[in-house]
Amino acid sequence: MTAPVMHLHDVTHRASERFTLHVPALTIGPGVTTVLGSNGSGKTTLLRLLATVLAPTTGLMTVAGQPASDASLPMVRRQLGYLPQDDSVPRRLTVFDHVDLVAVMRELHTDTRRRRAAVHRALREVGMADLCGERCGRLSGGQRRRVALAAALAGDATLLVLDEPDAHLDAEHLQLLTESLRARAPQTTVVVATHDEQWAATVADRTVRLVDGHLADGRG
Amino acid sequence: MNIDRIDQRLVANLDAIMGEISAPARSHFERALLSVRVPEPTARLVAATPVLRWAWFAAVGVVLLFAASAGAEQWQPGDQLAVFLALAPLVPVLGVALAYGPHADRSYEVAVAAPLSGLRLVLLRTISVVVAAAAVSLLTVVAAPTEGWLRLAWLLPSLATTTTALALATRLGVRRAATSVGIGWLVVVVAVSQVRDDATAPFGAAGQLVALAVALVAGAILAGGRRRLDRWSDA
Amino acid sequence: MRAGTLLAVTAPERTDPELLAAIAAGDRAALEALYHRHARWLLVRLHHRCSDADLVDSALQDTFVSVWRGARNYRPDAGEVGAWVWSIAVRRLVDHLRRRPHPTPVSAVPEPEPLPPPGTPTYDLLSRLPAELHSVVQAVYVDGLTTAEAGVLLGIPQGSVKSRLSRAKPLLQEVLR
Repeated sequence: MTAPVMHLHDVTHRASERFTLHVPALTIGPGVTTVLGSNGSGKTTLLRLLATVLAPTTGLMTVAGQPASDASLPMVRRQLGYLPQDDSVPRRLTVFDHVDLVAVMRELHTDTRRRRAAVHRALREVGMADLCGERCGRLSGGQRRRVALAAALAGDATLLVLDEPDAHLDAEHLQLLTESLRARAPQTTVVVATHDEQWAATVADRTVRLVDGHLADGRG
Repeated sequence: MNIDRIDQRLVANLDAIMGEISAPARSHFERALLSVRVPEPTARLVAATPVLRWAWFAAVGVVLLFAASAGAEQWQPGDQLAVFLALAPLVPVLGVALAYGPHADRSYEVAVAAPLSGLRLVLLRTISVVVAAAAVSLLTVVAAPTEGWLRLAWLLPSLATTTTALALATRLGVRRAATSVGIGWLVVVVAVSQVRDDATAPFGAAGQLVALAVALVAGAILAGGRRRLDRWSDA
Repeated sequence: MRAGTLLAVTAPERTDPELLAAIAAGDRAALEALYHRHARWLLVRLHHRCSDADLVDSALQDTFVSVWRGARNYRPDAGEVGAWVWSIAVRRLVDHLRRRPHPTPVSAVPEPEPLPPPGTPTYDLLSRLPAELHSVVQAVYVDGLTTAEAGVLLGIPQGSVKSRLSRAKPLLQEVLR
């Protein structure tokens, strides 16, 4: 499957009384696009829009030519791997069970063995395969972050929306993440929000900057 | 045989093997679901739900309360049943509150972004609580001190509170909807009991018909607004 | 991954029985090592028995899952690890052939199977048998299958397996003499 192109046409999202995100026009294609901006600039709101978690208040968003609205949501979401900014890993489940449960919700494979293979491959990719039987509640913050990342990477999504995947990662695992994203870049549309300008420069094909809910400048 | 294909297959087969041996043993509950022919992905969704055990505990708690109060002499037998009938329809509402939403489930946002429909997920999880609660309640009600059909008078009200909570959830979010329905239900039950001066009055024939009507209307609203459960809500 | 590569360079290679002992103790890396050592020839050899790639893949996966769960059942005095793993693999293949919705139609003579490598005693023995007998002898005497399992593997009735075996026996006795 080819990497989907996302278009935002004059999209606004009113997140609260005081904050509205406004994107006049934005096209995100194959490769790694990083979203930079300070806290409160609207990075997470933009990524939630791109992950179809939030609906635009006004305007139109399309994914691979399809409007990302009610009827086509499941189709868009089948291509999507999403890492939210907040900790998304329940404490009671084991590492494997959590990633497997997300894989079920993502409808990755109907065949149990193929789904489990995809789960294992993702856990191996983030260096968590050896801890697959551990309860998530016993992991460090960085390890839990890698489990959440595995849940997003599993099954080779062609559209990856990752909100601060570098948070809590040590240098070694940040390097692994960079390699993973670069390896996928040509055939995957990857959107990454981060605070780390230096890391963004090493991983990105393009950069989008947000200031107070508005696009500042883009290059590439 | 093409040697490149063999290398690919060897890699894919190793992933399948390691995935198979890495998967933790299924819980008793999940195996029970599989043994009654529930599809494997559905069994996973229901069994691995992280917060539902609290709703199970609540169901058991209501029943224990009922059993414990059975010997209390200051109560009339009718009062005891009335308290049970008033509390039983709240259990599935609690199930709804704990089934879905950012306060109930850390992976809620991931679930929203997944193709699986929000309504399907919330229904699957609610139904598992309702079935468990109903099973436990039925056992207890067999020993209820009152004769006749009043023993089962919580069934339709439970259906009404559950569907109303789900229907409101499409507008208010899951948590606010469940809280509203919980409070609303208790207000109605207490008010009707006071006006009629009979603790079991809300569960009479008229009450059952109203409950059925509410359930049908709520079901229609839920069906119409189900797509809203596919987007994020923080309530 | 990198740590694993480093270890492989510094630590001496473990023998097959050592790997199985480690697998019995729950060492996942040992299972991967055993897989890297044996999976390729197992895959090729399973293909000599069955041309369906999906079935062979499933059988190979089942084989190593069985090895993971049953490694403690291996007894070093019972023979080579490779032979033990092969005996599991060929049974898993038969399991899958049994479960297949449409069993292979019974053809008059099954395709002659490739022989074991030249120079081995088995090769010399089998090469002197008629083609339709050597696949039966191989399934029963080399792979250690029951006549029923051999029937499933070769797609012929159990009775045919038995009759071919009884035809093969005097021939085998002759060559062995």
